Amino acid sequence: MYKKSIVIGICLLFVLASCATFQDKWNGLQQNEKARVIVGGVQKELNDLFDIGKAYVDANPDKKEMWKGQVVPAFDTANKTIAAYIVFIGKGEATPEGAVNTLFPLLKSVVNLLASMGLDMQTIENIIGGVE
Amino acid sequence: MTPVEIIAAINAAITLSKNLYTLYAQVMGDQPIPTWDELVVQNAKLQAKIDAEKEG
Repeated sequence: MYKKSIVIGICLLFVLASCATFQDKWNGLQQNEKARVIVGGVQKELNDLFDIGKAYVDANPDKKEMWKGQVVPAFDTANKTIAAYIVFIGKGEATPEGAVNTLFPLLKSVVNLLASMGLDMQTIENIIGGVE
Repeated sequence: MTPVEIIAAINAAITLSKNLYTLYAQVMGDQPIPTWDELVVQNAKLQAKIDAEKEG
């Protein structure tokens, strides 16, 4: 029991130290670098969601109409907005707050459509993690 | 859960782990933060897939 408490204590200290280090590193990044980390993360998640949505529709052909009519256009809008953000704002005065405020609602709208198409919400949540 | 759902859940968990690790590694300096030009390339790749889906 005593040994177990020591192991748990060491693990907790390690986790706390890792979090503090991560926070320090994050605080040390420039605004533009933070924005690029966020935009890159959102872009990757959008890409993964598209692949999973496509795989889901391939396995469920009855969902194809909604996929083509609503979900793909939503991906199109989201991706083009990211492109516009990169070109017009990203290369200028990009901030992490601006990236979050601009891009997260797009991700949310795509997620909502995927969920309404019938894709398992737990699967989507596992992909997007704590983004919402 | 059906076998397909289990595989999907495992894939999703792996994807989440990879995405979180990538963000963590970028912040910690273990992986380079993508440049805006690299992000444009990633964006164009997804756009190509979207366009193919719209046409197909």
